[in-house]
Amino acid sequence: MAVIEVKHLNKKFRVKEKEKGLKGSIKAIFKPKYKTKKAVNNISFEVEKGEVIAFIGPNGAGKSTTIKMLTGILYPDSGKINILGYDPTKDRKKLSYEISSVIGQKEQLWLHLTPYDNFKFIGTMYDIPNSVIEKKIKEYIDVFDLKDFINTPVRGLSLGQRIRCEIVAALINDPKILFLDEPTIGLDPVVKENIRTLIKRLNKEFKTTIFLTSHDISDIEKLCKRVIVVNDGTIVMDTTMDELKYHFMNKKIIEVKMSEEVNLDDVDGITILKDKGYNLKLEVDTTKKNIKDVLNLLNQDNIIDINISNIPLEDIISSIYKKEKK
Amino acid sequence: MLTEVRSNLRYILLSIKYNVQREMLNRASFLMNVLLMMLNNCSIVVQWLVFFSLKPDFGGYTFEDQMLAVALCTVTYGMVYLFFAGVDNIAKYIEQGALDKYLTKPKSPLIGVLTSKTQISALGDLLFGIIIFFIYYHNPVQFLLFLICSFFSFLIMLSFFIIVNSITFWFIRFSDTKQTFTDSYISFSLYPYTVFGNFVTILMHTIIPVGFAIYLPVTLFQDFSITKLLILIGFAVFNMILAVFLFNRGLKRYTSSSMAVVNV
Amino acid sequence: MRKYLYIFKYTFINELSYFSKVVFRVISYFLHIFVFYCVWDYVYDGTNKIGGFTINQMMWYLIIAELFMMGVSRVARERPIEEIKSGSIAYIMTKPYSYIGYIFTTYLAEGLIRLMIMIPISIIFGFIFVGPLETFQIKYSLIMIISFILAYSINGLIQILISLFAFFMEDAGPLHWLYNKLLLIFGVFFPIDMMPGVLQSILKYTPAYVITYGPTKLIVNFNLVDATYILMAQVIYLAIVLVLVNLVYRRGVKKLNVNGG
Repeated sequence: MAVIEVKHLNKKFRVKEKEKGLKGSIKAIFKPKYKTKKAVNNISFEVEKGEVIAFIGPNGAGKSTTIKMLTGILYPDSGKINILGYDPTKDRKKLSYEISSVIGQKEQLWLHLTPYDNFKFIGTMYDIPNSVIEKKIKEYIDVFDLKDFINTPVRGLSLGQRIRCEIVAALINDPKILFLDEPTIGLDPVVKENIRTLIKRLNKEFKTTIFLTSHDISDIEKLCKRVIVVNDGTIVMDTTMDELKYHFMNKKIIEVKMSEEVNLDDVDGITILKDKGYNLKLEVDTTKKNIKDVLNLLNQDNIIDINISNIPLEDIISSIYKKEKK
Repeated sequence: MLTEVRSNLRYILLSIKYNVQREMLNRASFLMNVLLMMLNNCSIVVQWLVFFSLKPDFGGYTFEDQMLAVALCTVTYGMVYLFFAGVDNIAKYIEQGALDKYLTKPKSPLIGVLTSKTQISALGDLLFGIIIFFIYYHNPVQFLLFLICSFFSFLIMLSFFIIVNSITFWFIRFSDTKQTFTDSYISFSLYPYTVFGNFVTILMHTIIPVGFAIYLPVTLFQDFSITKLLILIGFAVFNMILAVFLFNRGLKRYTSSSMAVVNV
Repeated sequence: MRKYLYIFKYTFINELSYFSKVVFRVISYFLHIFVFYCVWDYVYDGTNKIGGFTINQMMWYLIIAELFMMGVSRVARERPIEEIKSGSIAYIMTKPYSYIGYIFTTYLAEGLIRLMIMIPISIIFGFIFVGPLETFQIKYSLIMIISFILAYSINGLIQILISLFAFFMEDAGPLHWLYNKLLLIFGVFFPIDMMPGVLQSILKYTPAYVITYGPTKLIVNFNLVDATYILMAQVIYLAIVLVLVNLVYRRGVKKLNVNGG
């Protein structure tokens, strides 16, 4: 069952343009110039219940604009959005009971209150009876391991603890879909791992559908089964993580260190990335050339060191971005 | 409908409670803000004592009338800024695209912004106004009337501030200009309209509704009439509805943070 | 000296980039003058002189005194409090100039820029609303300017002094309200001469006398006796405030060290 359905979504922005210098500033006061930019251009996709989906793209690709339209913050120019049977533009309030979002690290929590009081406040906002909310907080304390700081005012928490509380706060209303915009930005690796575990756990335990944007490739690699790549306001790829990797898995990187200089020319299936005489870096397309054949091209007695690896996901994705830019 | 009102009310009260709690964390600073604001406001009384010593009559306004106007102004200002100080942030939030936080919540975003802040010195204003009233008026019926008038002029002030801020939805540059309007509101509240010409009097009954919020209640004390009271109530309710309508209408034009830089 | 020219230059550019704020300040000045104008016009109705001031003098008094209030930079009032509260003062203190000097220079630079814009506007307002100031004596203008600059400097130092109380208390902001109201009520709204006799002699010892009342009175209605008194008082005030600012600053820094910022 699709919980998110988006059809032909469009959103334009008018951006003010300003010329440089004092003259430009004065001009801008009297005769502002505008440029229209299509932030989101005819986007369509569906998300099934229980999916963890990554929605990625370079800065300015239209990710946040899309999320904001899905959550009812922005009004689309045209197109249809259906989330859990609601149209966010018309039923923003009703929809807000069913979904939750953590956008960046914009604090939703009161700093002078403890996480416990904060959770209760949010419960009030969602009209949840006190007894229910107390039970729920107890459950979350166990599941997400909050007991060490549940009674410390938020201002006294570390950034990592605070983000954890932000995310848990977003769960108070039992959301069916959780929108996470850059949840791990600015966190150290250990805390990032913590947050990922938390996200994984809530998907598993509560079957929450998770819609995630991130610039951190390991977030995506570790959490998501499906990836949608947007660039310049359009979807350039909508695929599973496995397929994405498999597709690019055909390419291997071979790095060799030789004791003698070799001269290798580009052959169909082999691209030379780096040639420093003794040190070579090759990209091999395994559909066209076998690894064995490549090795045969080199004098195996002269190999001092060799390393065969997959292309890192990071490079895969940036190559997708770049390809689309052209 | 009724449950919704009740749950919104619960939400408002809780927000205010937490806001005030936060401000009271530091007792010394809290007391200083409240007490010194009261002392600060005494300057208005001094000012009028001097004016009335120079001229005993201000176009039908007695000293007591003027003190009533001052009491009304400080009490309503106190109420707005103690409970809904976030009203000043509306324009800024629209400009910076910072309303997102309130739009993803099931409660009215307007209430969310309004209750996002409190100004603790406003408690000083509120108390000052009440004390001033009691110094010059002793009749319990008058106090009842004062309470009624205060509530409705509070509504007028709040809705005027919401409206002025909400114009930013349509004209982003207005966020700088709006302060002129809110400042004028306060400035003209503290003087009897009789010293200004016809032009200002008309202005105060149209664009800047001080005429209804302050001048009209003062005439109610001079010469009570149920019609005038109904005008006050009607005008206040109408303005509040208009303010809520404009704000919600404006939300449709809200561009989130994507305004300044297209998307992040 | 180059150091200070740079501070001046950057303050100037900064001020220009907030052009809409300048416009707002002018509108707000206009508004205040308009309200004062209406009220005093009503008060004067038929009267020739109040407290020795004709209506023409009184109006100009308001225009100039309010000009002073509008021209005051908020730097001395806000920045030390912010920097003490946030603890960033500890870093600024390590820089090779005096903290007080740095705040004071910025205060002067910002004020000068504001006044450069506001003075012509206030003169235009004055001519439109009340016509020329009949009792202006141009030959004494040097004394007026000196008195005005002294007043502006003393005000900055007093504001810094008040701000420095943030070392010792949570929130020094409310003290500024009171100081400001003192200047406003006894130096702007009403010249001290309009107060009852007993109050007058007390008020002559307050900052309102040397800051708002003094120089404004000299511009509006100059006489040598007043000028001598006012200038003397200003010099004494300047000396006292300078000593106090340094004393309090030194005390405050000591306290800062104890608390570790």
